[in-house]
Amino acid sequence: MMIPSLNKTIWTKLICCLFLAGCWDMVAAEQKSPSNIPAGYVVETVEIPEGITLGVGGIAFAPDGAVFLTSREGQVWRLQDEKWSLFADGLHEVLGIYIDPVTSEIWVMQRPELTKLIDEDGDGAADVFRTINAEWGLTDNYHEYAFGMVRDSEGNFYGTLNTSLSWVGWAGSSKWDVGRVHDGKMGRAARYRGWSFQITPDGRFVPWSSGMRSPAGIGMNKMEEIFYTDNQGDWNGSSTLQHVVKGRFHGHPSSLMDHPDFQGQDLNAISVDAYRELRTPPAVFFIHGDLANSPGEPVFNETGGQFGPFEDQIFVGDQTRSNLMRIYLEKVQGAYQGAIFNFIDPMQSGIVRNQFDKNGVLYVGQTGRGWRSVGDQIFGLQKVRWDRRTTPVEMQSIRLTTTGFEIRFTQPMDEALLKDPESFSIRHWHYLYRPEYGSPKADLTQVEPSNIQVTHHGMGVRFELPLLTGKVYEFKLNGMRSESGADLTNPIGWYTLNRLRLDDLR
Amino acid sequence: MELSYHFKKHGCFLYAALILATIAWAQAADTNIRLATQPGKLRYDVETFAVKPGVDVALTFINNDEMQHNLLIVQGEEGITLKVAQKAWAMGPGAADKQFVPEMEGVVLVHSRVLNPGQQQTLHFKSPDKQGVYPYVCTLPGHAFSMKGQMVVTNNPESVKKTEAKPDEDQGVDFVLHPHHKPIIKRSFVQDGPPRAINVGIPGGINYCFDAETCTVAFGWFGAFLDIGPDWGRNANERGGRPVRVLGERFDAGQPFFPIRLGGNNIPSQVRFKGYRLNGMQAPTLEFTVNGAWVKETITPSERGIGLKYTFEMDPGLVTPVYVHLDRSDAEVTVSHGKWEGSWLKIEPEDIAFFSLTRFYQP
Repeated sequence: MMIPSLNKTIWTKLICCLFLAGCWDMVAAEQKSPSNIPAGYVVETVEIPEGITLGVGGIAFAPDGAVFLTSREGQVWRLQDEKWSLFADGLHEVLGIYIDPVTSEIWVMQRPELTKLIDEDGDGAADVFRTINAEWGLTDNYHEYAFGMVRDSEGNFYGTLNTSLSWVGWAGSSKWDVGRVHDGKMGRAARYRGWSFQITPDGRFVPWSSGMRSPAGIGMNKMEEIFYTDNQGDWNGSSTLQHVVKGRFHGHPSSLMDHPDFQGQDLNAISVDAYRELRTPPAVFFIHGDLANSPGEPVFNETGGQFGPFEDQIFVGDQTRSNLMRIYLEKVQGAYQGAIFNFIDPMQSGIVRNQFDKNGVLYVGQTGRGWRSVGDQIFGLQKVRWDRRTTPVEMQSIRLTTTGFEIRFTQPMDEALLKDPESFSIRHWHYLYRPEYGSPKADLTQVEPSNIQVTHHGMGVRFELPLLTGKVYEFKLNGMRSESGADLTNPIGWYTLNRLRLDDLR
Repeated sequence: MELSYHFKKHGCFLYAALILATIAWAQAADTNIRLATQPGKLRYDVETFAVKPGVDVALTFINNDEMQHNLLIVQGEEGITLKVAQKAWAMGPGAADKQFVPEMEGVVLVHSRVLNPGQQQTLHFKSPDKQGVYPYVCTLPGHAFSMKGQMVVTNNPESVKKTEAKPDEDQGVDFVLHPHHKPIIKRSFVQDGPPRAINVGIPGGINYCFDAETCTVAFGWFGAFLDIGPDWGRNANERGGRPVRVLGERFDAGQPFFPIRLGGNNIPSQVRFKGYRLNGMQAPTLEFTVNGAWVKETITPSERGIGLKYTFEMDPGLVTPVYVHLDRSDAEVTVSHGKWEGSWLKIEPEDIAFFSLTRFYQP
């Protein structure tokens, strides 16, 4: 699965030329580009000049079209017309950036604070570093990341705070061993670790939701609903996408040390079952090992169709596997749940950040330093572009019905295959909610679809299944082909079923 | 072309011999050496060369780098190059006038002046009569960790391999920050420092660490600035995010707690960090509020000794006196305004718009 260490520029050029010549499939095979890439999509590698180290921590676009890239190394680079300039330096691990689309004002999320960067003398580099808020706790623990950031229409910023790496066996010191619950690995060595937060326009810190473990990415849709991804580990059987709502508890209990309802309580005296009752289950599980090990920033495709037939879906990358994934969400009984698919796999380096520019091109920010990744580059920036004419052959969505599921496709599929029960391998399992690190696929069960019906003139298929909440359903489509004979690029989808649908799917 | 001097101050026999040889520079040299700096590497291009004892040497030192450098040939025990350099870094603001050459009798044998980018200088000297290894070093702040080499004095120079620095030997050097031309700020965890650290390096070799949580100066240090390798990760397998290394020698900044009180020295201060402002070539200004009152603090090297000068600017509309604490127990402290009341300096309201305190050690 490794990309060969072919010079990335040459690689890109080859791909582009041959793609334009209309030989995409051949190229994909011959150039060992991502082994999975849907038809119509192309990956372009942005050449980062020699001497620049850019473990990407944040991507944002200024109104004038410039791209701003923040880095783990504490720099902010400005890229416009292939010219790179250093906008700010010497910051402390910048894992988020927001640029006002009207005023061009720039804010960044550093590990210790949210900062506004101001270029007062207009020389193209920040000279005033205005601290907006620094109220969250911070020790010198390696894992106490501050991730960001999104901003709502009222001017509130939102970000997330990683728990502390507290278990002595990993941390190498007992000084951070505070707040571990039921012998979990992560704890809370400083206030508000494991929380999402809001920073109001007047700079106040508002604790927002608790129970996060390693919340490496935050995203917001046009309805201003906020989602974050959490990494597999203690109390997280597999990595997750979760819907952030004020007051919610997402499952990792160390953060409750800062919850007003738990002051003075011994968190170890509360049972795992009681925590399970308190938590809101994740909207979508990433499938640890099969799909993702450490997901990053979830970004909504609200590009008005510029990125193919996946409008309003989430695109999110994985640091370890270096793959780009796609999530379809639906609201069932008032709560989000949905399906996840692989999309492009692998890219050149671990994916942590994604943003769409105004032309619907997805910028993919990457870093592999320290953790390494399937993609062998240490850091990088790639762009994913849809050609605006080729319809990929993919499952567009998996939707829950009152009695089973409906899978929708991006184009008409072979009806004989759709009707054939042999086309579907379906299993379900659940992840254990527990203080131990990770979880096996528990109660793995094979199920058979019944009453298969083709819908939407071959662009969909419905079937019935025994439905159990709290499960992940895996749909593997064997040999499924489009009407014109093309294979599905990504033939597996996974649906996280938290709630049953009470009304018929329209 | 320039001669080496300093013979007034150094009386050792060997040194005098060198000087005599130098005065006779017009004679043709027995041995010609060419030695340059490597651009952007903080390395000399030649790191070992050999000469015979007691011969006339013409050493042409060329500065190919984009920053200033010098070259001192010294003698002494193991580690002498760093000692010489540290002594140079501690010279304070006058160091540049003295070419960053410390007064160390019998140690510094010959030296160049500080060469600007593109300059060169030929040093004429008589090599020592005694066979042995004589190291050389650049004494500009921070350079000594990598800019060094050795002159081998031997009857059989052909047996000594002249070595040239290879770029891949630069491990670690790439991650050293040098505030040569203007101050540098690096926020990161720092060895034995606070988590919300703001590390500031000022040209001339005086540096400090400001704690943005308590708004105090955690410590100062002189010498080279920082090795940020632990923060950036030196290679693909290092995660980074670790405390950066302070290069040089720490000194106490005299601020064991937040040093400002408004209205009375027992009135608690609520402090909030507000950020900082870069001032180009000048030291940056740190900003914070104390009980709502805005304070600007600019920290510069003390003009005497080793230490820091704290310059405060506050809203002149404040009608209360300001009390400033600075530990005077083991360092000298001078102030621009105010009257000491024990360990607190009282600044009257009419002086709070601009006042300073300087705390320094005499080396």
